[in-house]
Amino acid sequence: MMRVFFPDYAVSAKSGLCIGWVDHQTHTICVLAVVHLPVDPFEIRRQLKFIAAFCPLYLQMMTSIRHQPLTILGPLTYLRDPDRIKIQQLCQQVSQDLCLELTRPDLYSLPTCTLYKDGQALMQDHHFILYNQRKIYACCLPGRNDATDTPSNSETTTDQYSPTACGDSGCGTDQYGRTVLKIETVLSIIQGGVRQLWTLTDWDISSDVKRKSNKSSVIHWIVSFFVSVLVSMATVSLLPFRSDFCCRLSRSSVFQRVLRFTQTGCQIQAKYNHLQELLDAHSADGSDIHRVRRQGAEQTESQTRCEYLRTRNLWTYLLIDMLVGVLLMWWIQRNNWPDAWAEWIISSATTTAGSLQTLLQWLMGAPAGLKLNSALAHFLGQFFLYHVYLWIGYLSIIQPVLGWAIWCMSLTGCLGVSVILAVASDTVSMLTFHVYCFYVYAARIYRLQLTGLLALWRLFRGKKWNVLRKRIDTCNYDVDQLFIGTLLFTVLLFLLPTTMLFYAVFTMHRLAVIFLEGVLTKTIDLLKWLPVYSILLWLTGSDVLMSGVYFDLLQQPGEGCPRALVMQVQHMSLYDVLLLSYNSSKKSSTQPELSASRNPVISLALDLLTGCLIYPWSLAQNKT
Amino acid sequence: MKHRICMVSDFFFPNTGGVESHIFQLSQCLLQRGHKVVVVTHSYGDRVGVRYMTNNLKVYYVPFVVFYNGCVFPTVFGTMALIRYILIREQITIVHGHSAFSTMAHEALIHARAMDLKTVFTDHSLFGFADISSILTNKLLSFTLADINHVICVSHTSKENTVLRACLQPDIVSVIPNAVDSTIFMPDLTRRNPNRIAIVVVSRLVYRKGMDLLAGVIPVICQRHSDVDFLIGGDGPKRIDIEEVRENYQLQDRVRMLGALPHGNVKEVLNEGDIFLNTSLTEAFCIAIVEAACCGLQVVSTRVGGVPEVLPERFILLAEPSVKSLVEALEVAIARQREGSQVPAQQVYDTMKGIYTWENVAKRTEKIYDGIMEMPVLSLAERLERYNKLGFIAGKFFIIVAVVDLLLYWFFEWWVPRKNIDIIPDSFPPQSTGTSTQHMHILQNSAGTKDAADTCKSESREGALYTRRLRPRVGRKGDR
Amino acid sequence: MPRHKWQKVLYKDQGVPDNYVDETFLGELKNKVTTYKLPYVILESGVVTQQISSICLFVVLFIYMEQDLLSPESLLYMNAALSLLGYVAYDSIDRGQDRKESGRSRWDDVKSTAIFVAFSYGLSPILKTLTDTISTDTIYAMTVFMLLGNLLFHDYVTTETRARRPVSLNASIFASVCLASRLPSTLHAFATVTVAMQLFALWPELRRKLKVHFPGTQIPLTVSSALAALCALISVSHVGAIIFILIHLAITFLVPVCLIRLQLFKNNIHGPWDEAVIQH
Repeated sequence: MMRVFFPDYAVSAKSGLCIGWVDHQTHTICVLAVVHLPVDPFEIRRQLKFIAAFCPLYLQMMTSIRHQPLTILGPLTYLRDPDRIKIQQLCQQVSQDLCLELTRPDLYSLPTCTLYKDGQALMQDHHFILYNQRKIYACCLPGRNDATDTPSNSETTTDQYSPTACGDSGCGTDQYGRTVLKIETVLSIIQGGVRQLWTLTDWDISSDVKRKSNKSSVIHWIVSFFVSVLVSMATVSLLPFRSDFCCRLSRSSVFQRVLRFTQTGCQIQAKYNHLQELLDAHSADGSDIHRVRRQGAEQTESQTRCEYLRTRNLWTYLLIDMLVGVLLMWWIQRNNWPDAWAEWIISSATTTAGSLQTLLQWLMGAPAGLKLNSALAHFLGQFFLYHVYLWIGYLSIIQPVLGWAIWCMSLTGCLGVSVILAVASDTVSMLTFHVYCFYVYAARIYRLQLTGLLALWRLFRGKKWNVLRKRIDTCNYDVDQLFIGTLLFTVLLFLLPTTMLFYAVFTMHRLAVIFLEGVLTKTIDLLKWLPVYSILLWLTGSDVLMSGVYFDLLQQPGEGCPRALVMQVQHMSLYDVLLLSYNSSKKSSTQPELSASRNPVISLALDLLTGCLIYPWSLAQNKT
Repeated sequence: MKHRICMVSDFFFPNTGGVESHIFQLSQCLLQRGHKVVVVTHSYGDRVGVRYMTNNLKVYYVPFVVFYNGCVFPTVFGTMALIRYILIREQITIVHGHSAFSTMAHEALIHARAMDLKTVFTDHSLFGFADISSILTNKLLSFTLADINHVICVSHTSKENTVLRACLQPDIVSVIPNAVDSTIFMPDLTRRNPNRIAIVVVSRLVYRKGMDLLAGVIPVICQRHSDVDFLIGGDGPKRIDIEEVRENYQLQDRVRMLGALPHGNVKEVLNEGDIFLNTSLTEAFCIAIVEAACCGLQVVSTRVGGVPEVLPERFILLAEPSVKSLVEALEVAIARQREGSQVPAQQVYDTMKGIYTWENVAKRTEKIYDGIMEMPVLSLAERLERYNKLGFIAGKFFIIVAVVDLLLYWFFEWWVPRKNIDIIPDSFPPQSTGTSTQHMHILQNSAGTKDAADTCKSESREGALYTRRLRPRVGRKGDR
Repeated sequence: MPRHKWQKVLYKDQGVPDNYVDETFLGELKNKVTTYKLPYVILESGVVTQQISSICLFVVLFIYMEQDLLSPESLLYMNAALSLLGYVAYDSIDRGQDRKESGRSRWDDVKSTAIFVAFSYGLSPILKTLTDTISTDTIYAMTVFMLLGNLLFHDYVTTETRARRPVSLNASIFASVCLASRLPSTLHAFATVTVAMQLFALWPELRRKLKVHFPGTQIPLTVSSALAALCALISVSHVGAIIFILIHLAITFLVPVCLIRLQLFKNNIHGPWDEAVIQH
């Protein structure tokens, strides 16, 4: 059973020579274009060979199947065509082993097909499959195996194209042991072949996809417009950073650390990196994705498509981020929010300080009926109370300038809403600095006590920790050592509940703050991750996002005419779109993955129990 | 008479140890003698399904949950479905369980009784009677062994122990000692240092192996004899104790600690020494001293368990389990070594090589198999009667367990009828053309070491299929 | 039937089937029944009585201090005198032999004493307030448990000085710290801890040494300590004293008799398969 892929526009094309790809082993013929008269077939063949020899990058997908260059397949004519004989002769001149001859009863009907092999006419049954070259060319194949399952809703034929579990070879073996071709391979052959044909500019070629005329959707144009605006803006704004001093500064580790210490710094750096990356890509090829593809010779077709999508998503993200940021800034400043907010912040901070004082007073008594060590509780309470006192003083100092500071912060909106959010996150952590301090003190004391208890516990068991060998040794202790150990153990043990309570209370506060900051950080991440461009494409039903193909029956096999099918593009579901862009953004993200060896929840609980300091996610990531 | 034998134990490769290599070697020899042998064990990590080892030994790595100490979680009935399936499709006639510690072996024996198959059990270890855990284990053992057809022990002491523990008739308990591969363990005097005397210890460094004794012996011997070194192979929780002794007495240059040894390297280590020291506190057979004797070393050992039965008196110096006695015995050995009055290594080897061979073990085991095939099948009433004798409460409990197991078996006979189970045709392996010793050599290399995993890579892909769906389509490669 | 006498060895083929059962089968089986003599057990129960007496003395001393019948200063003086006495006795029992072996100089002893006094005196304010807020009932309950723990974990057997079991000492120090908070001054706390140290750390050492070198002193020691504790108890609580007498009688006579009786029901199977016990 031979399968002939035929572009749908060529049904109504003038007569000419078919150019395409043939593989007898998988019984596949793929017509890519038709070259019309006047034509020199020898010259065409020479050029095709030239392409095959010198443009190996285009052949990436094809070489991985079998090295099958594009060839002249045979003539396409219709019955009453005056040039019919001439074309047939031309074809026979150029090569002896033509594959097929397509003949139409008139200009606008389906051709009938005669197959040849080694000059012999094959009496083989065949399927005639029409495809829309433009759609196939535009589509973006997801780089996942599971999303490429061909839906088998149309015809039995699809079974033969269904992808089997095989590696990158492009071919597989079905359950009957026959070699079959994966449908993705056919698609990438079409995509690759079309691009090869652009080099044949001297000839009158019927090819649906012209070099510059792809992506004609409205969204594409809108985005391209904004991209060009952005690029010019970004180029100007990044100019000072290109200077030698700035380069050196940005590479110095101190600067990096200072930058990473705050969320705002991280965001600004991320933004700068994005812009830089996009500008590099842009200046390299000027929004032409095909040249991008040429850079990554090792990349496969689907990867480059994903890369293209990712870049576009990034652009849209930056755009929307900035738009919303500017709007927000405008809204804040117009309604005179900074002053109101400053007032609110001061009042709430004062309330917090007051309630903290109450809490500490409560802890110094007998909280919840717990029998604490009053002396230690009093001491710790006074210590923390002094901090609250300091904090109140600090608040009164910043009160007059806070409104102005918030106004300044809102100006960062022109850098994007994510920067505003990051600034907010930083502000929260600054305003809750006293909570952080309390937490650190309590955790340190608690941890010290735990370590002491552990060491003394070892002492009772006649063991000691060998620091040099990192192991527990047996050890004989003297009486006085044992006695002091016991005494200290008793003291520490009885003091433990008090410190534990202080630790627990302040850890709660700390966790609340971390939760708040975490929400802000996650919002920023969500903004960054949301593939707006992909979603827009999906909403407009673009063919770029294709999850596979299906076949519609066009014509039942009858007298002298084969079974004809139409290959249609199957659109992705929204979930697949999100997954695709998520995967591609994850692949390209430079942030190191958190070590997944330990369950984060368990490790957090362990840290909390042992009194290790906990940090928000972003900082923790930077630490690793 | 050809048998279809199913070896069941929790302990098998890739795990290493005495039981593991015993099962492997015995299976290989039985395969060679023309029987069909299948090994059933629990899965190890991603090693799940059916694997084929050397000589097409088929191993089922059944996906049961490992619970404690490398044993599966004891559910009694949970293993019924899979074990019944395997026993039926392999047309097993004899189920052979190994090791009293192995939950799987016990459960398989119970199921095999429900299916009216013949059962054999090999006990590899000694138990006391004093502590609570051994009391419980002994009760359980008496249940699984109540209607067993035959029991194999590795030494006479082990036989006495097992008979007492499981309240058995002594005449259904046979003594078949373990074996070593004498083609591997050969004396190689060139590796020894003629100027110094090396005392070798190869054992897991745990309390039961008498590591506290060793820690006491080392400083005394090193102090008294300046030309004696220690070579310690193995790892375990007591390693720190030995290391502390080494540091406290500053013996780092005289006590070499090699850490865990792969089984393939044991021979090299043994051949570097002159005297082998075994300080075990309990030992059913002690294969280590046989290996050492095969390599021509003088053997000094504690007089515990089955150790006195293993070697002729000329080859071994026995001591009480105390530092003083061990030091005395070692000094006798050192003195002999200095005088050169010890039995020459080659002579020891020549004597030892014919005594403990796997062929011998397989022959004797085969005889037991032949014997039990003629034994009558116990009726249900007789079996229940036997269980009832095991104790006032325990007896009733065991009866309930046995009856529930039987009901479960009948349930599975109805749910997954025999006729729906693929029967694997017998393919008794052709007799190997090579001489048996060469063959054994290959086995040894594949056994017990990390390399075993690589050697066993010849496993088929059906294994993976098998675990995913419990309706296996296995055995394509080995059986058809 | 084998021609030669069957041997219990594996390396010989003795011409018998594998499942051969010789008449020597299970010959090494021992149904070991340990037989205790009643007087011996009664004598040995003395160590328990002594420890109980120590605990009683400690409690009574605390009650005295709490009721202000005993000033901490006088208790400390008494302590110091007794310690000195005990120290001299400790050395003179074996004529300084133990000291030579352990290589401990007088200076070490002085240092230890200094450290002990400094630490317990320095920490006594903390010790006093440590459990201040905890209610008296809780304190008493905790003390009871700690003293019971001390009794339970006390090392009655070992005659070696090196191997100590710190758990029982810990428990007693815990108890003393708990009780210290119920007393009015820091000096009281210091005195309590010192008494605990003496009664639960130094005194058992001395008793142990006495037992090793002069076993004959055990009976008078037991009787005198029991009498001392009894007298002390009577002065505080008559009920307590009666209970104390009953407990003592039970431990000294009833429990040993029960032990001997129960021995008859013990059936322990021993043989070569047992895990060997390391002999020292």
